[in-house]
Amino acid sequence: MRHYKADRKCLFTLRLVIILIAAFISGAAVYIIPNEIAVKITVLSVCGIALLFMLVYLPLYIASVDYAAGKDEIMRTSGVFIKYRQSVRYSSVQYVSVISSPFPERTGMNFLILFVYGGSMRLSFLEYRDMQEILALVGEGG
Amino acid sequence: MIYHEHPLRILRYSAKNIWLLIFPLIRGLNVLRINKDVLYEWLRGAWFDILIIGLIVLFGYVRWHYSEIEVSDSSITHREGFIFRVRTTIPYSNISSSSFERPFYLAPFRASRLRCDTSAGLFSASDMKLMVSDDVCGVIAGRLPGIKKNREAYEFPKPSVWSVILFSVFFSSGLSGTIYVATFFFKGGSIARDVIGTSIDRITDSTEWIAGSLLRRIPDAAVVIGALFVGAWLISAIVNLLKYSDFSLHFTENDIKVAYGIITRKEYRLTAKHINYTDLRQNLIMKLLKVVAVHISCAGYGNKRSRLPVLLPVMRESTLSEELDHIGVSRGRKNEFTPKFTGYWQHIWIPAILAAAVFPLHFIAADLVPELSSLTLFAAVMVEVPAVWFIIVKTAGFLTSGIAIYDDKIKISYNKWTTFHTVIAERKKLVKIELEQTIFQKIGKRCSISLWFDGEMHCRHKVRGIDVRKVRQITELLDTASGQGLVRT
Repeated sequence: MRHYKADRKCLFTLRLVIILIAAFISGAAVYIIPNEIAVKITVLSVCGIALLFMLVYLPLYIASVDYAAGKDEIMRTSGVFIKYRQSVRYSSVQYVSVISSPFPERTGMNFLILFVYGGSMRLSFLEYRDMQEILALVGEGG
Repeated sequence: MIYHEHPLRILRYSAKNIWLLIFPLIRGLNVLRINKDVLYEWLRGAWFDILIIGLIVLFGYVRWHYSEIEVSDSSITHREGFIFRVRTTIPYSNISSSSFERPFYLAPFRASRLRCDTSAGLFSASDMKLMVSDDVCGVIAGRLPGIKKNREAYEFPKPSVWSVILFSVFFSSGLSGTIYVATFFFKGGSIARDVIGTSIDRITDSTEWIAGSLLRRIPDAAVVIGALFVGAWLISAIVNLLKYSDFSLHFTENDIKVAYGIITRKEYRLTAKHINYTDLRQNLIMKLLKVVAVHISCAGYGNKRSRLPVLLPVMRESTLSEELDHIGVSRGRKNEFTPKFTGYWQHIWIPAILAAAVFPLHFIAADLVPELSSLTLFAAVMVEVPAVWFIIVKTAGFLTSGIAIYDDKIKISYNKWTTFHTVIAERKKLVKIELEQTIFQKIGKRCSISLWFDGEMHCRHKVRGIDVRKVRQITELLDTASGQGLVRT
């Protein structure tokens, strides 16, 4: 059984996105809210949440992600506070969706969604090469 | 070969970026706060709004440009998105149904809607939804599985005009219910006027004008509401008639092609192996006339609220031929396992108690408030009629429900609300069995059995009040066949 981990390069990308969102919300708060104290509270709250997400939750979440690909099935394990396990047989995959950001080898923002009978399995933050390997195993639902 | 979607898609992709209007809005809010000369400031800022709208259209164009369809020998791939690229690949072998539709308003643009569905996913949304030009649609249609030329397939005799009209009538939000609601308003309105009028007359003479003018309008309003119900039903019937007219069904050993509609012609290609089950539906009138409407469960077929998964509109039970058997549509056999006679009460207890209690309640109410006796009598009659109707429906349901297991098939006959279902499926399509026993059923040694089949929509098929020993036989037969340990109690 081959184990695939989430690509840690995605941490940088996600942190960048969170910083941008936090900056946008803070900027909008400064622009819209007339009360200075309310602005300070909003900006501090947004920055606090963003820092907590970037420095605590995301690294823990990324470390928890594990995709175990066997001969017939693939199992996904993830979750920080609540562990989540899901397994899917390759034979039940009906079709797949691949989502990639620009420069997929460098950002780690590669996602694979396996659509199966009765639901789907999302494999997030895959290394580009790992994603190609899993795709070859699944056979794009064929 | 790589194709683009139809340029009309730019509008849809543009609409998705409507959130960008938040920027002019924020700006507008800011202007409102700082400057009181709102109109002037808005006009001055118009260039910015126009710029944003232009951006929305530009984004729509860019998204359309990056939306590509690739048709290969074994699969269809749709690529979309210009920052995050999404690539969805569906192998032809997994497509359970595909549909082609050209609404009248798309005809001048030579654009068509194309949908592909597989058995995957939890909800009934289409797995791939595209708007393409007629030329591209032709290319894709040539590659997708299914019947390409009608002459290659057997054409099932076209349903008569009457059968489509009857189908539209029966499945247009319930004819009997509409007539009933309309009667309620037509008749109830004048009774309400009389009762309220008499009461007001008794209170004081000064209210005479109310009885004279205002109350006269009550029956009119009630008639309008009643007429609205009838009108709504009539519109629904006409819409259904237009939707399902010119119904045609072609099939080969492996594929089915269904086409219908006058104004908007819709063509479905279904793969026989992906049909989960056949559902022969009837209401009481149809049951008495021995006609059925054949519905099927197949991912992507009739999964929209406005579309019914109908394979054959109203037709005589006796005309369901064996030719349809190999595509999963069959008449089934007589029920081997039927509900116990002692379980009859379980089927009818709600309408029976209602029917028995209505008139005593009316007499009590009339004794307490004699002025309202005509109104309570009317209400009692209006409740009694459907209650008795339901007793008849549930009795028919009790007499006709049951299960039959034969060859590799299972047939379940049951009644839900006012509809009678006869579901026929291959045993291998069965995914779950659930047994239920209430305290009363335990005393009577009966239980209810529910079955679920493959399908995007998880639909329960439940037969009540079957003998416990018979249920044991059923579960043994089905568990042996599937070997999956499906039973849950």
